[in-house]
Amino acid sequence: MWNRSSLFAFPLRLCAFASRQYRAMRSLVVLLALVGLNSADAAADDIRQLTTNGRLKFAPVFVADGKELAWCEHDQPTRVSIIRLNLETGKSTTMFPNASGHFFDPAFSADGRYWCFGRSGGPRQLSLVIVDTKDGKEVAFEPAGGLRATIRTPRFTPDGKRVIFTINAPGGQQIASVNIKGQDYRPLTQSEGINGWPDISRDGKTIVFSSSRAGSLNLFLMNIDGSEPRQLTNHRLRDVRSAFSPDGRRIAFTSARDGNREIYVINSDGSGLKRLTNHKERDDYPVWHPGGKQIAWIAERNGKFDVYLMPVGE
Amino acid sequence: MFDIGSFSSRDCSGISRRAFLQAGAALPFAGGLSALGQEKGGNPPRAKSVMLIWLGGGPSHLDLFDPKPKALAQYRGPFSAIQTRTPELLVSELLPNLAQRSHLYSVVQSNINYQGGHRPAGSIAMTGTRPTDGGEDRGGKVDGYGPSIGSILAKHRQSKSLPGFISLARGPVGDGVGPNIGQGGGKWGKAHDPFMLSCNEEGDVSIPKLKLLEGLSPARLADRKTMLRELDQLRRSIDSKPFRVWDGVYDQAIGLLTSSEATRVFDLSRETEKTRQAFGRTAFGQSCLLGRRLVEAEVPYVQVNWSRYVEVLFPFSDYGWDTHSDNFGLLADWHGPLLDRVLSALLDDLHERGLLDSTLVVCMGEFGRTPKINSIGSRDHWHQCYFSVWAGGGVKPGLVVGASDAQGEFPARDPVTPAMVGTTILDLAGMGTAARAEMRVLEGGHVIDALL
Repeated sequence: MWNRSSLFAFPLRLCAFASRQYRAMRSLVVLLALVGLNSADAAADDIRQLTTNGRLKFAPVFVADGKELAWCEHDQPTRVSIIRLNLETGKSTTMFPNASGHFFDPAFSADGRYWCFGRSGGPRQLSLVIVDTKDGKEVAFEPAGGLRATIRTPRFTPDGKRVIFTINAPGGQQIASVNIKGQDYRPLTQSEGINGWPDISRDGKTIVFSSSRAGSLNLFLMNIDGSEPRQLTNHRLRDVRSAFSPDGRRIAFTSARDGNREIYVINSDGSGLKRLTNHKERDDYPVWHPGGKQIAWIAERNGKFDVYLMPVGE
Repeated sequence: MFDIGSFSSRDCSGISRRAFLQAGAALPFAGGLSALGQEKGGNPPRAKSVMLIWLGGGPSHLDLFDPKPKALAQYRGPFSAIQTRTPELLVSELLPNLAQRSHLYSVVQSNINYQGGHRPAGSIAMTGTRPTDGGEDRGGKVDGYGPSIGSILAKHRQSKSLPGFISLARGPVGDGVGPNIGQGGGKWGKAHDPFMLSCNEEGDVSIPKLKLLEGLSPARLADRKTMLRELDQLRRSIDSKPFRVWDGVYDQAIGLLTSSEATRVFDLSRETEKTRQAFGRTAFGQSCLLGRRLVEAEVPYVQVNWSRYVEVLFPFSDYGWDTHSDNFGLLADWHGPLLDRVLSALLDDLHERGLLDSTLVVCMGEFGRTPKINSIGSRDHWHQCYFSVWAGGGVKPGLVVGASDAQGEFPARDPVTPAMVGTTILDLAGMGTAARAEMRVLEGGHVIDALL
């Protein structure tokens, strides 16, 4: 359970009074102030607020063994950008700062060589772009379905050889994969209803995802090749955005089952459901730190969207 | 484009940032300030002001205010329906806060439109009239439509200080092809177009067609003589022909720049932090808050636009409701939660301030989306049946008016036409049959009796 302590509120309030010219600097100052902050309140004590600008954010992912965090942010009225934050220095970088289109849903291969994202402005609403950081070359996978086809929520397989994703293309909203060259398209789901938000266990054997094939959106597991789908959760209000813990034993996800979106964890065998957040505003987009003991997520607090980091016990 | 400056709210430190108005030669949307005078004859208005919350792009009725939990999977979609405080009303699970506030509003579930393209459907919805020349998609012109509802009410009311029809967006609303040509005065001319203001997520207010005039400071702007001198210099630097076009705007811009009321109304930092937080730090949220301030200032008609463009993810677009692809991902990410938060905050705020009874809030788009999920797992345009939300200003709350059929494809009863929407808004705002006839607008229109 989490409630922000007054120790957090004070520096934020200070920041709120800073002028626009100092906003960029403000984010860094507050980040550094919050890192390592200690208080007697154990629950709040371990919560770290990693950003402060309050803009709409989504899809955080850890990079470089957890030393960095990347996410998407509505940084201009007509642009969603990918922001990358170094958690040690507090320095943030906007990827493609001069671009005019939208960049969605970054993902990074385990070895750091490849990264990928959804990009607008091409022949599809969002194409999948895979970048090889070794030579800077990129390939794009543009799904069938014309201008309106969309790729979202990509994830690399642990061996870095394929990318799985949510696809809006002929056949409905499904989960599919391509190889690192954007080729060898393989559908992984072909069910009724909506499928999406996949994540892969670190051993590369299992995919967790959401599907409405049985009615409402619930979590499902399937083998990496799409075989043997089995339902993990069963609630009439949606469970989405699931993320395997690094050891594969647990799954974090967003659920609206209490009427408001909160972060939950559940064991990968379906036992041990536990709610991690409890706030009247939105908690969403959980992602495990590679160390397996913390979860970053996007919290809406006082109408602002920022990235936070919380510890997760056993 | 002629720069005069733009307004901006103070930041939270209380330090005024450079904030000016900037008027452009191509300023088609700048009616209002010259419309001084007294309200013409008509009914005593139950709605002193109207707020149209415009969800451009076509919000999915099945995924918001008209869920079909018993429909086939290819219609129903992945979102569950939840019960509201209104026994007859279910809404999507994306709207939990609005579900708790259904005693404040009513929902029409049987709106219809006549065209399936964004711009003509938008123009039809905003004017209540069908184009006489085919509309935007068939080469129609501005005067093919009647004046928009906002333009009609502004003309009727003759606002005394602020413009009578203010539209909040980054520019004229429409799609990537162009603006809805029915969003303004139509055959009455540009003088009756809405005055456009833009409000960003920080609450900074500017005039979209206007840009900053370098070198002007708020202090200089406050000095009318200084500003006039600046503008005179500007005037000498331009051709007389475009300036004549701009002349009315020039007066309006000066009026706004030197109006203490305008600067007060546009300054969102005068709100408590709690109020600003309630609306959320998004452009749509702060725009709705600005809209409420405009209502307090007795602006007769305020249109708050969700976005300027209907499109969601093309490079120019700003996350409109045209979710041909990834409808369910996008609605779960942004559209549903933002609408739920902001519309709830607006209704709460108006209610708590005692303004809801005298303010008519109408929330709708130009149409809905296909009840049957399309081949790529999303929803396309659907003008045969959609929803609108009505609150305050003489509307009975807690009602469901009309009904769609089992799949949400067509009205099962009581279809509500754009003319009925326009007529009802005007009637509640004090323009009854006689006043509309006198102005030759929406003559013969019917009010949605069940709402009143």
